[in-house]
Amino acid sequence: MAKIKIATDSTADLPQALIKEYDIAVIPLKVFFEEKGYKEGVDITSQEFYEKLRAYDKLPTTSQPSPGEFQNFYEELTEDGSSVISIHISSLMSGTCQTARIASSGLIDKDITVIDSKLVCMALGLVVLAAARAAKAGKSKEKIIKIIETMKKKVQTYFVVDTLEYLEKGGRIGKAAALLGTMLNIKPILTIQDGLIASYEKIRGKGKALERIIEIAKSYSEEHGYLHSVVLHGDAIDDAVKFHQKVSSELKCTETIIGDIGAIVGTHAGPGTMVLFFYEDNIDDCEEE
Amino acid sequence: MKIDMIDGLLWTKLLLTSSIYLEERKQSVDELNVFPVPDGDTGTNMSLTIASSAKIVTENSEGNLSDVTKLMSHGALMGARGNSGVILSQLLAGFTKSVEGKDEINTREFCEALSMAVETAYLAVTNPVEGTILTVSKEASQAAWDEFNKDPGTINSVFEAAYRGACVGLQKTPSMLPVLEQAGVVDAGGQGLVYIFEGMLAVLNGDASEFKKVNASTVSVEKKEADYTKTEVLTYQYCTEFILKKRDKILSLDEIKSFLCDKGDCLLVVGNTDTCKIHIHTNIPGIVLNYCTDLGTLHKIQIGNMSEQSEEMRNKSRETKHLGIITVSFGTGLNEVFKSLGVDYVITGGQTMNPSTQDFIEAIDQLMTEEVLILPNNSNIILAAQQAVKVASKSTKVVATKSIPQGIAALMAFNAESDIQTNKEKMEEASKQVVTLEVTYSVRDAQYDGHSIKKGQILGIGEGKLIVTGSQVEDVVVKTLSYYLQSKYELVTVYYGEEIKEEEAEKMVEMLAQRYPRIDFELHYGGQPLYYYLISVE
Repeated sequence: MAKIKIATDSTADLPQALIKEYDIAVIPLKVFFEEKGYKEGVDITSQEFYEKLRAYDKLPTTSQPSPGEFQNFYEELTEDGSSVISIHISSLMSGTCQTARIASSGLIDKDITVIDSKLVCMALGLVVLAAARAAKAGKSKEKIIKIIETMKKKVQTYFVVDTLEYLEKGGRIGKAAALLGTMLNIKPILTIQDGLIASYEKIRGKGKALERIIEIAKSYSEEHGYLHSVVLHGDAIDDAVKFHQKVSSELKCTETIIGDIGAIVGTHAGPGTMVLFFYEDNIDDCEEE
Repeated sequence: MKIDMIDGLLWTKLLLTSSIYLEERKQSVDELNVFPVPDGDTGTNMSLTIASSAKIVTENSEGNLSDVTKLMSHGALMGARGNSGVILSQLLAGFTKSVEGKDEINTREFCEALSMAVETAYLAVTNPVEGTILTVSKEASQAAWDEFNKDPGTINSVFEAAYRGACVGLQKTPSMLPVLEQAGVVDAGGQGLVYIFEGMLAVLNGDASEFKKVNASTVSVEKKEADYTKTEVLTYQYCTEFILKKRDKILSLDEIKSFLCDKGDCLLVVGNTDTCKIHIHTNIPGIVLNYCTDLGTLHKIQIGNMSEQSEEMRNKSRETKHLGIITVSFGTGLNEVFKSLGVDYVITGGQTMNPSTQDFIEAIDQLMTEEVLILPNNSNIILAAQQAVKVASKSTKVVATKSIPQGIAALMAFNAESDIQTNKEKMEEASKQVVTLEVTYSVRDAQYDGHSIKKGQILGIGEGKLIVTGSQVEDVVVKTLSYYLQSKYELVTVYYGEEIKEEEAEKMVEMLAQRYPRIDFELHYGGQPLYYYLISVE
């Protein structure tokens, strides 16, 4: 049986160590300051990005990989006859999936499966990670795809942004657009719904919003048992460490990861963003269904 | 300058000029960008995509048309940015495929290359959406063929026709894609493509050096609300789509097209000699299907009645709000805050001016929604609101809020997608999470909660109970607040009344923020009479 490789794009915000450990192929999206483009994670680190962002008086823009770049990416991955499962950012947020499909349809004799995760950031990352673990364990392509589809439904995302301005200006505010125009300083808890950003609850005060996110995770855990959890932050390491400590002490977790939000998601969420991703530990049982 | 053939040199010129032409106009294209993601970069993305083609072509030595287009296509595929850039790269790839191996092309071959470009782009996109760059490219190709069939003429005349077709297609985009109509714009990617045609045409007409700065094809970016309530008369009612697997290769795609073209509009026939996808808006789907069953087998047949679709759209537009909210408030600032939080109707009133049941009934009748929530924001007004519920013609419920801050907190928990009872419960629960402080003055001498109060004395009230009295507003605010500011609170919102000056309020909040660094303070103009300050602590 051909080897199966797992591919994704840089919006998954997977930590380098995990990318290496599980041999995940990552195609970068690009962030542009004026006309100067940087490949996320290749030409620019998260830290460098936030430094630039602070010094830049306009908003940077982002772009998906080109069809040609995708083609080269797939050609290299399939050179040794491997199959590829390529999991990407929600097609309602980016054309990446579409371009991946265009590139893969040009490589007729290669086995490439493109999957729209309908997610982004570590929510996508966790799906990719589960797929990569299954691939490493030698599971079949069908099995891995099943795991991916299960995980897509299980991964929970709750986050708070400092201001909705970045989501609005970047055109990614999705269903949370209704929150714009309120005169009070509202810190909505946002989530991902049907491939788009949506508002989950309106809260006033960031501290309260973070507490509420932990509450939401707690009641999820009461129903589903131990959790895998990930805390990601946009250039707010001190707050993230505190939040992560709270998550670790108040939630029953088998695994907790802390990391930062990369340039692409960072462009659209803005600095100060705090996210909690989680899913239940017994996910492996679900795949047997 | 009449031109009969396009060779490598001419195509290079066309490409480079259109690249510069689009570059100069990219900003106006950016401003049109609302679909699929309104991130305002379509013009920049398309410009950089074609610039990538132009760069790679200039970097290499001159060649024949086949060589030049191959470089162009490679440049676009590698440099494509954004959705429109990717589709542009597919258009160029299709064009390139069609002219492969040719030194130069004549008018017919040019039309064929346009067709191939359109087909390649449509096939590349998983769910082709009409009203985009795809539509514009299709109309351009169709118009080129129409002109060619009338009179094969020159490259100039056919190209001019393609450009005009693109402009017509562009004007159609808002009627095909509701999000464009809503924003009052034409499709950004389509506009970008029109500019590319325009730049190329200028070279063919020999006036490339003097581009018209003002452009007829640009539509103003004035935002407007879409009006789905108007009934539009559809020329063709049924959207008909299916896949045809041809029995034998008797007819070419063009022959199928020429039979179908007068049966409706938005015609699309794409595919290869064995299998093709047919899409048409028509009033006679039966004839279209009959014709095609003679040619082979039909698959994935979908026929939709488009007047039902627009009916659905209209209903959806009407239904967007089913739950109305009425609140009681006083002061222009507070009224604005309430409206910004989604309140539909504000009844003026409060502690000294309680609205009557009749006031509520009138407000309920004025709302267009089927269900209504009332936030009385005062314990003395709840009863009148509840009376109104009993006689109201609509399903109405009272969210028993006892103060303005409670009303605002309740609105935070409002969810337009939940039902009325769930909303009432969630909102009442949320309203109990805030502490309400009021700072006002006594209108006469009185005994209150064991305090004896003199007329004109400043009163600090917390949750309806008198906390402190004093002679100075600021002092009373600080004392009342300190009574409540325990560790669990983190946000204080201050609404200053009509008798307080903005600077005065700002100064006080600044002082409070220094005194309580752990707490976030927010200041808003409330404009309420009688109360110097209304304060919510949460």
